[in-house]
Amino acid sequence: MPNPAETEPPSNAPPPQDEVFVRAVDLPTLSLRQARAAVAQQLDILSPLPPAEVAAAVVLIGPTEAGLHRYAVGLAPLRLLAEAPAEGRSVTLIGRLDGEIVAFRFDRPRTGIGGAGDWIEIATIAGACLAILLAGANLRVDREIDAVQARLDATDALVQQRSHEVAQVARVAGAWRAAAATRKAGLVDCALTSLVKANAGPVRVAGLAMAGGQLTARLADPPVDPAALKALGLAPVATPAVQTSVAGAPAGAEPASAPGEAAVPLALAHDFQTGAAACR
Amino acid sequence: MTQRPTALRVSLAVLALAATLALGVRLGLQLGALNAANGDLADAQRNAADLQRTARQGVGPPLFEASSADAADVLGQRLQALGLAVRKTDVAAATPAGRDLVLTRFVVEGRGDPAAVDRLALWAEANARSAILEQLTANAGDDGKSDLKIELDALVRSPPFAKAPAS
Repeated sequence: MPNPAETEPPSNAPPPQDEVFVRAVDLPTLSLRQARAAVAQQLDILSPLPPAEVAAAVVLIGPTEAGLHRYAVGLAPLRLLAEAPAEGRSVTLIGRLDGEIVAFRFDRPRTGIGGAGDWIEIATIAGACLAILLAGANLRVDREIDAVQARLDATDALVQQRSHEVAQVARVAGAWRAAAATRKAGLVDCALTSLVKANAGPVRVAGLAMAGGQLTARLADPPVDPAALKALGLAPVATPAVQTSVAGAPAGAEPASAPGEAAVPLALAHDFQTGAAACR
Repeated sequence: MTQRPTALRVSLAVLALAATLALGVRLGLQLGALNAANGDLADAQRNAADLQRTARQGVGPPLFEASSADAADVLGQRLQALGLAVRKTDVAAATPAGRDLVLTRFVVEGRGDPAAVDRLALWAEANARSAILEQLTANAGDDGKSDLKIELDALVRSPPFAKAPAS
């Protein structure tokens, strides 16, 4: 049965005035929800305006002789509903069907953001936009990580190469320092100066050999003051240090042996040896 | 606004929320990994710079700069400037000793008087960071000069793009 509130206007309402386009539809159902669905499907047929611009309301009038149920379908422009005075979420408009006044209650069209559904949709769109931005940032950071990783790999390879270089340099430097600590070239100058000092004048040197940080000098003549030589760090040696001939020396002074063989102590008094620590 | 069933709207919202959360978490992890990689890169670059500095120090300053082909000639000229008559200069060995440095052992044969030998010794002493007089043998001759055999270790810088000597 139709709701009296829907078929009759309120008693204190303004004088009835047709505000909606009304049509009668006979349907086999008593359900208002099914009736609304049926009307919604045929809105393009029922409405004199484009369906997107109208809203429909359905009121049950009563049974027909054919066993169907007659509904009054009110069609109102959405613009009219939007301009109607606010009465909550619905707007009541008056229509006339076969001379009988019918009050239709329309849902007010939504003009702004309202309800939880709207907020859910807004949040969904915002979330989707944020997700798109995050996906872009993910890709960007992925590429950045790849680039940094490539640079890191190259730098690691460089570090490895330089580590080898540094290790080699350290090895060579160690050997260099060890050699430099024992092989003092200044020993030659020190020894020659000491020989001159000990002889109190020029001295003839037949040979000179420096190796392994030790210097051996072979004098052409016996020293004038062996003690002075010893005091200056030049000690006589028992083995000849030079293998080649000595200027002015007798042929017997020539080492008979090949280098590396046992030394022949023929010139004991002529050979003097010193080192960096002993030479003064 | 398009009207959709509430369940669909909620599902879409949950899906968007889940995707946002997942992408946010992944972005956070990525940023952490990026920071770590940047830190590692900075450490590696610092390490490489330190190693380069160490390698550049090398064993010592070079005695002179010459290509491996010219090193013997250059040393011969230096020794001649000290008053030695150089007959032959050979390179007995060469060992890399850092950036562009080569530790080279020269074997020199020549003649010189005692004063030249003394100058040689003082020159080697003055360049002790670049040269080591490994062996020196002098045998005096009748003319007061000595036949000399010198073994000298020296640091030689090889130019990285040394031109081949013109023929």
